[in-house]
Formats: sequence, C-alpha cells, structure tokens
Amino acid sequence: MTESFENQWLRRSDAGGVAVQDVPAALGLRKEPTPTNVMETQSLQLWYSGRQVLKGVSVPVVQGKVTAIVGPSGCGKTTLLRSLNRLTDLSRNCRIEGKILLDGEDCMAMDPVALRRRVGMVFQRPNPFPMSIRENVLYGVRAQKRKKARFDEIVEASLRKAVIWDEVKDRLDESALNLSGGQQQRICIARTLAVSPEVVLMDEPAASLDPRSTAKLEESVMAMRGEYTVVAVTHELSQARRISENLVFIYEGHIVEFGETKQLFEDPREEATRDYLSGGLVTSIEEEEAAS
Amino acid sequence: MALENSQSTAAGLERFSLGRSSQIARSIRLVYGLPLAVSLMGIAGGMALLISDQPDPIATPAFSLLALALLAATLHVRMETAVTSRSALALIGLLAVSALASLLLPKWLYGLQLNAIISRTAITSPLLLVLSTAVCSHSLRALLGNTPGAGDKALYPWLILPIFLVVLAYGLIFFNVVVDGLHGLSLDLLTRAYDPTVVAKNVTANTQYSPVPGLRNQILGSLLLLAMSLSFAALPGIGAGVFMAEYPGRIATVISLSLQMLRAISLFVIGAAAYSMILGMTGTPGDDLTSKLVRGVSLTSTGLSLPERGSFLLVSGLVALVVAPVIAKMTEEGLRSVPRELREASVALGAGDGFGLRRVLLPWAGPNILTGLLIAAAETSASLAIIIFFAGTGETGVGPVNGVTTLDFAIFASHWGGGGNFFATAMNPYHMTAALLLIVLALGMTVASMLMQRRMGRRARGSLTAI
Repeated sequence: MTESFENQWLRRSDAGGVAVQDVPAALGLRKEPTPTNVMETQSLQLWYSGRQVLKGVSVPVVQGKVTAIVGPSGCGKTTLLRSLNRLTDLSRNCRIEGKILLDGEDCMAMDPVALRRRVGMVFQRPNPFPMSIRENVLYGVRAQKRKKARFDEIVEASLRKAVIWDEVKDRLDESALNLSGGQQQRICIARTLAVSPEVVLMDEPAASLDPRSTAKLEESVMAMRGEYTVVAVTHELSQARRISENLVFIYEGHIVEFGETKQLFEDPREEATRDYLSGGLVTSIEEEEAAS
Repeated sequence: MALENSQSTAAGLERFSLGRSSQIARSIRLVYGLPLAVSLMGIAGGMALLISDQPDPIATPAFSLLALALLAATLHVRMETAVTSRSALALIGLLAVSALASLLLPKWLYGLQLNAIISRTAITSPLLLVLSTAVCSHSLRALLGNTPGAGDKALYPWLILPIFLVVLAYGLIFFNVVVDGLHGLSLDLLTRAYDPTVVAKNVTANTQYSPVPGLRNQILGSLLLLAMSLSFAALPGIGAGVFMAEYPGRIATVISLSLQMLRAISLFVIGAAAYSMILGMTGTPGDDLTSKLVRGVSLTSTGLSLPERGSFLLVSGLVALVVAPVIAKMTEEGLRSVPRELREASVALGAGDGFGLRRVLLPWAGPNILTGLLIAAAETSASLAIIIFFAGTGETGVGPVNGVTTLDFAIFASHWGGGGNFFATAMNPYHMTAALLLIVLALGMTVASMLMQRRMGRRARGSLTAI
C-alpha cells in the first residue's frame, strides 16, 4: 500500500472502465469507491459445468476489517470465496465472467500463484501437512523463497497471532497431525499469516470444531482485526455477529445486502435479510442449547 | 416379560435355536458337530484326490457319509423342534445325486486307460471340495446358533478354501525348489564364476563336477540388470506418472495410451526385434563404440576384443522400456490419492507446482512409487523372454558392456541348452539352486520395500485425522 490513493484510483479506473466501475454503486452497495477497499468483485458471474452459481456479484472487501459472508447452504458463498484467490481454477469446468480486483489490479489477468501469495486461505476442515508444526508454518515462506526471512521469528510471531503459541511452543518439531482439530485449524491460520497476505479468506473455519475450539478460533480471528483483512464464510449467524464488522448476505447467487454487521442485524433494509437473520438466529440458539 | 416370551416363541418357529431353553438349543447345535467333522474330512479327501492324480476310491463313500451325517443332524433337529431346514434337504439331495453319479462314472472319462485324457477325479474332487465346503458352512452356521452373525461366520469356509488351495499349490512348488535347491547349494557355487575350460575337462564324467561350475556371475548379473533397468526406468516412469496425474489433457492421454500399448507388446517380440537389429551391426567392438555398448565385448587372453551377443546396457535398456509403464501407473495412482485438502492447502499458500510436488505430493505418493518399483523389479527378474536372445555364460565377467547373463538364464539354459552344451550340462544339477537364489532375492526385495513403505507412509502421510 505504498502507492498513493489517487494513483490507485486512477489505475483502477483504467483497468475497470467507467461502466463496470459503477456497478456496485448503482446497486447501492457502496456510495463511492473508497481507498480502503483492498479487494472487490464487480458483477462476478461463475458457472460450474454450465450451472450458474454466481449471478452478478459485486462486493467490496474493506481494508483491515473482518467481512463475513452468510447465506443458506448452496447459495454460492464458498464459491465466491474460492474465486477470490482463484482456487476455482483447480476445477476444470469452471467459467468466470466479471472482474475481481486486488488493489485495483485485475486478478484474472494476474499469475495465479502470485495472486495466492497475496490472498491466503484457511479451509473448512483443518488440513495441516504431515510435517512438524514448524514446517507447517514455514511451508508458504519456503515456497515463496523469502531469502532473508528469519524463520524462528516468523514461526513465533505467526503462532502468537493465531493464539496457539503457548500451547505448542515446546513441541514445534512434533507432527502437526498429533494436535487436536481446533489446534490444527489454528496452525493452519498461523501458516497462512506467516506469509503476511494482504487478504485472508476463511471458509467456515469453525465448521468442524467443538464449541470450545470454536471460541479459541474466534479469538484468533478477532486478534487479526485491524492488522489483516479477513473474508470469512460462515453458516452460523451468531458467529458472524461476534467476529465480523461487515456482513454480506448472499442468496441463490445474488448479493441481497451488504453493510455493517451491527446495522444489518438490527435494521436490515431487505425483507429477505430480515427473514433469514431472524430465522437463522432462532435455529442457531436452539443448536447452541442442544449442544450444551 | 409376557411380551418377550411371545416374541421368542414366534422367533422359535423361524429359528429353532432361539427361544428354547438353552439346554435343548445346545444339544441341537452340538448335533451339527458330526457333519462338520465329516465335511472337514471331505475337504481333506478332496485335496488328496486333487494331488493324487489317481482314479479315486473315496468319492462315493465320502458323498454318502456326508449325506448321512447331515441327514442325522437334520432329523434330530426335526424331532426336537419340528423345524426342517430346506437348505439341508437340498444339500442332502445333491450329495445323494453326487454319490450315485460317482458310482456310475467310468474310471476314465475318455479313451482306454492307456491313452486316457482325464480320470474321473477331475470331476469328483472339485465336486467333493465344493459340497464338503457347503456342508461345513451349513453345520458351522447351525453350530453357532443360526443367528445373523453365525451366518456371516459360516461364509468363512467359502472364503478360506480357495486361498488355502492356492497356498497349498504354492507350498508344494516352493517345497520342491527348496529341497532340490539346498541340495546343490555350496559356498563354491556362490563365489566361483563359470569357467568353460574346467567344465570341458570334466564334462565326460556327466555327474557332479568336482569343482562346481559356479553361479557367481549369474547372481551378480541378475543384481546388475535389476539395478540398471530400474535406474533407467525410474525417471521416465515417475515423470510420465506425474504428467498423467497433474496435467491431464490431450498430451497426457496420448502418453497414457502409448504406455498401455507398450505393455501390450509381447516381451518376446521386443527381444526378437532388438536382436535382429543387432545382427545387422558389423563393426568390431574394439573399434566401434556403438557396437561395444550394444553388443558388449569380451577380451581374449591374446588381447583380441570379441563381440558378445548383447550387453547389460542394451538388455537393461530394453527391460526399462517394459517396466517404466508400471512405475508410471503406480506414480499416477499415488498422486491421485493425495487428499484434495492437502493439494489446495499447498496451492493456497502460494506454492508453485514444483514446490508442491517436492514437499507434499511426491512424498505422499512415495509408498505407491515404491510399490511400482517393486513390481518393476519383479518384472525385470521375469523378463527372460528378452534376455534369452542376448544372454551368454557370463564367463567374461559382469559389467555394463559385458555380455549379459542372469540366474534365470542359467535355469533356462540348463534345460534348453543356451550358452552352449557345456554350460547347459554344467548348470543342470544346479538349476533349482539358481531358482532358490532367485526366490531369496525376490523375498529380500519384498521385505525391504515393505519396511521402507511403512516408514515412508508414516512420515509422509502421518495418520491424517478424519475429523
């Protein structure tokens, strides 16, 4: 972010063109292009084997904030997230139209490996490599050939940020597979933070964890606020309410509403959002009661 | 309580062993000990028939005995519970028919005994095995209480018997090799190289040679061929496997197809084609490097360099051609078995293809690649169809440009006379020893690769927790 805002804005206009640039504004998703949007999609459409999953999604990702994507199952929220670092490229029958911008650059025109070095991802299920904890954290650093990296410092700093340092500091050379699911997931977060990405994507990071591990995980996401830009998909609304500052409600491939989490929960503009958020809240409270 | 009782009575009509007092149930079950014992004897008898190759004296009594034992048990159960097992009745019927048939079958099924084709054992022994197993299974089920779990256990005889037959056949062959092989084994045989001049002096005796002919060069030759073929085949094999798994598309399909075609060509054809190409070579190996590399060279005592029939280099190249597809296939399968999560994790951390391959994918596929190498090694040992064209006695030593020779060629030559009559005659008493050495070699490789596989698997795959 060394570039001045004016330059970025100019570059963005050049790359995007005025018509496309105006789509989010026209949809009322935001008033003006702000310098704090580190990433954004512009009328993003996506097909899997001919089936349209995303139907024109325009959503901004605000610098230094946690943005939660919520919506019913199968609405395309995970797909949207995976398109942000082009993991969708791994599927051979996936077609994308529209724009994804990172600092005003067109992601589709970028080298995918370079893009993923700037946009990291934490997955739904903990997926540590079958290596030691230290090597797990350093995987990305080594892969990106950061020459003068101070490995020990990076390991400690990343593990601290993921709020797991105290639990593993004495066993860094043990296999990461020996840890519990919740600890593994926080190792995966540390691994992603170790390469200091501009944006961290999280795909239902607590979906496979028990309530206690979930609380720890939320703690580490909260600790990232301000320093990192986070986009998290979640199906649990109470979690979205706790961890996120901005909220995107997506339904059947469309963005229904985007705004500050607090405002959306208290006074949603759209009827659909109101229904989903209230109905969803009831179920999630019931789920929590059943779990305890 | 009342409900339980009525339920159990109802069940008792269906399954005689449930719902009765345990005393009766047990006596009913134990009755099936008799047919079980007879069926085990029947299985043993069937195997004996299979091996004996004689017109059988025991088939008819065996079938009758089985039928009687099963009938006794069934009648007893009927008296106790008024329930008759239909499958038992069917089985008894089959046994009676078989007993009758085996009585009526002529001893020899075709021709007079002198020019007969098959004896009736060919029919009665498999029939006896199958029916004995059926009785065994049926009695086992009843003996265990006729519960659904007992039904599962009653499948065991069906599963075990075929395996047992295979193991038995293997055991017989192996036993033969070990006994004959150990007979000829001696330190001299292992450490000495075949020397035609010594053999020539002794060949008229036509018995055991006082200095043994020596298998050293054949042993070393087998090992060298193995090492060279695998090292030639490993890189192209693994490379092709990586390409087919990681970059699917038209080129990968072409590679995959052509590898399969290569597998379909008979080894013998490959050997013959290569041999005919060699025959066209006229350069003397002393002057012509190609000729030296391909044909191999032997130096005479007078300093003359003579061409061999084919060098280790050539043959290991040909064998590599044949075994590389195996390595490719196993590598491809190993890479396809990498969990998608790990693949995505690597990609999402900004790792390029090369880094991911080195650090995650290939280590994961390691055990599979090792299996591929092991199968390739086994095929190398079995590639006699190629070796036959080029092999010699190995009297000039072992090395990349020496004439090729292996243990299996020694076995072949001792029966069919490759490498000259002296070699064949000399090797004849020791061909089972050579076979034993080959078996030891293969066993050693298998055990080593199993140990390595376990270590690699633990290190590279850990125990990915299923969450």
